[in-house]
Amino acid sequence: MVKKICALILVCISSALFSQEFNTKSATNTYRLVSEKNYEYEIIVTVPPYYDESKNYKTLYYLDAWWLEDIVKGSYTLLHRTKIVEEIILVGISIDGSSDAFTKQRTRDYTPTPYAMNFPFTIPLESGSLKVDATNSGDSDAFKVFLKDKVFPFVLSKYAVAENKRGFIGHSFGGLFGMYDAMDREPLFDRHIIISPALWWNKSELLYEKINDTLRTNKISANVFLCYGASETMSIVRSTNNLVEYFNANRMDDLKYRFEIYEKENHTSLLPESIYDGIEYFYKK
Amino acid sequence: MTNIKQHIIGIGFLLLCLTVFGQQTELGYTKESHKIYSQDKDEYILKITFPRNYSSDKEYKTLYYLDAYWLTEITLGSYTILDLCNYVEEVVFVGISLNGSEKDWHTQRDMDFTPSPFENLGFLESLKKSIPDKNIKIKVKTGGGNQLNKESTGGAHLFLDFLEHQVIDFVEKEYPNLNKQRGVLGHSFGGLFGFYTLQKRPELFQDLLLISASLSWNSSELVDKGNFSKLKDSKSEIKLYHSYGEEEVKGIITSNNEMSTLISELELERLNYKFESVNNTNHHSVLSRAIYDGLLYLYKK
Repeated sequence: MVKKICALILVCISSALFSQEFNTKSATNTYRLVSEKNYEYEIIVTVPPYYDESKNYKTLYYLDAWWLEDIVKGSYTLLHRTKIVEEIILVGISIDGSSDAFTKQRTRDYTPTPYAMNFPFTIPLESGSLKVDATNSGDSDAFKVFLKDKVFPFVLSKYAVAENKRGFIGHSFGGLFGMYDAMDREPLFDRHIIISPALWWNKSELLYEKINDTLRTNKISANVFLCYGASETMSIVRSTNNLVEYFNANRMDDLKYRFEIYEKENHTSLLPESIYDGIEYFYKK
Repeated sequence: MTNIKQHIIGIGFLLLCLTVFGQQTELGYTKESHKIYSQDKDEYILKITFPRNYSSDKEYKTLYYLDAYWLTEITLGSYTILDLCNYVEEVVFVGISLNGSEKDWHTQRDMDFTPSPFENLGFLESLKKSIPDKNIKIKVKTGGGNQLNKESTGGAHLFLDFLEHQVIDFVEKEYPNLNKQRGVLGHSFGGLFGFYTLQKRPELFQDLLLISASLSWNSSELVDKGNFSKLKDSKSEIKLYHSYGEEEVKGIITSNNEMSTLISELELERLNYKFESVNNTNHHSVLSRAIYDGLLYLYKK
């Protein structure tokens, strides 16, 4: 079945050109997969130096590879070359398209429910703007199916990875997606790096229901690195603070989390630091 | 120079060649690699990254970054965030790297970035004094198990010549429009080398991003007012971002603080200078913040 997934091997981008000679550096390959809903994605897989097929590597998935590929790979390289973290395989999820296509993809795929707040919400695009409504948001269930049924089996078939040891990095809408997944009865990932999550989305009503159901009733464990920058908008700060307060007020033994506020940083300037810290937190030797 | 460069051939490169100046790839950055050889036949790789919407009719600032062996992605990744948020100007990046193992890379940087043959790192002397045995020898190793000694170090003057007369010449002959302004990024020994260039050839780079420089090298020999006479006489407008991690070893902290005080006392009118100690970071984690902060300081719109 996996073979049927139309995987077009793209060019080995950047450093992969040289690494094949010596295998002393990490190597990246990019593949294309198509979802049930017929959306095309790029899957960017980076193996560590001296990749060995007889091993079982943990994987770290990151969303928004469209623009975060280098910073994730760069942070991991720093941590790996200084022998702080273990060897893992990085899997970026991206699309091949314009900045506008990227904005539309993440608005559609990462939001758990169709937009239903009582004020208009528009995102600026390079050409015009995206008026967010129920038709272009709230499709994260389909995106989860794509990850579970297409991406995971594909990576498993091609690389020496351990099953069920999947980490996650998501920022903003990606963080929203990650938090919903972490609080799910059947989470796709077992550790989540959640950066500046857009938890204000539909007031996170469904999220609190999930937390009650999963963590309190069913005692399912979650392991979360959660953060934002102190100079972000109030919507991010407040909704994240509320969640942390909720965690504190309802002591949940099966939830492990670390919460970090980056002084001086805003919604994007915290990215290099928080990605570095999150990877260190979960993969420290 | 003519026969020195060799384009790297591979499927990826051919495709890039076709698309470089024609159409944009994903984010629109384009990359090229060139091999270049020093006079004593050491092979280096230049990794050139052009900004989105690059045009050979436009002039660009160029940032030469050392240790591209491991800093390419963190540097370009930091720039990508800044660039897509529209915070910074367009910059062309030229990474200087090499093929080979981690040990090979350390052999290169131990030699190329240090201004004089190794005597001490400036912070083990008190340890030495505290041990009664007078014959004790301290061996210092860098990454890849390389040992620092007089033979493996002290090549900065040669590397500076190579950088100026081969690397920069090559880039600017190939791309005459990359002439607007040059910068250099260096970390640790690379930062030491950055200060060395600032003192020896202050006209060469106008933008400097120097992180956790190993300024304690050989009893902090670079931390001396006398070394700045050329810079004082220079007419060049210079921007310098200088930082280290708050949790580094004392030798780095002390020597960088001393250098910063010294630079401030020079009262150079043409120098824009930012110095910071980055909270909660060590000699390596500082990179994830300082590169981003430094690029923003140097290239902010």
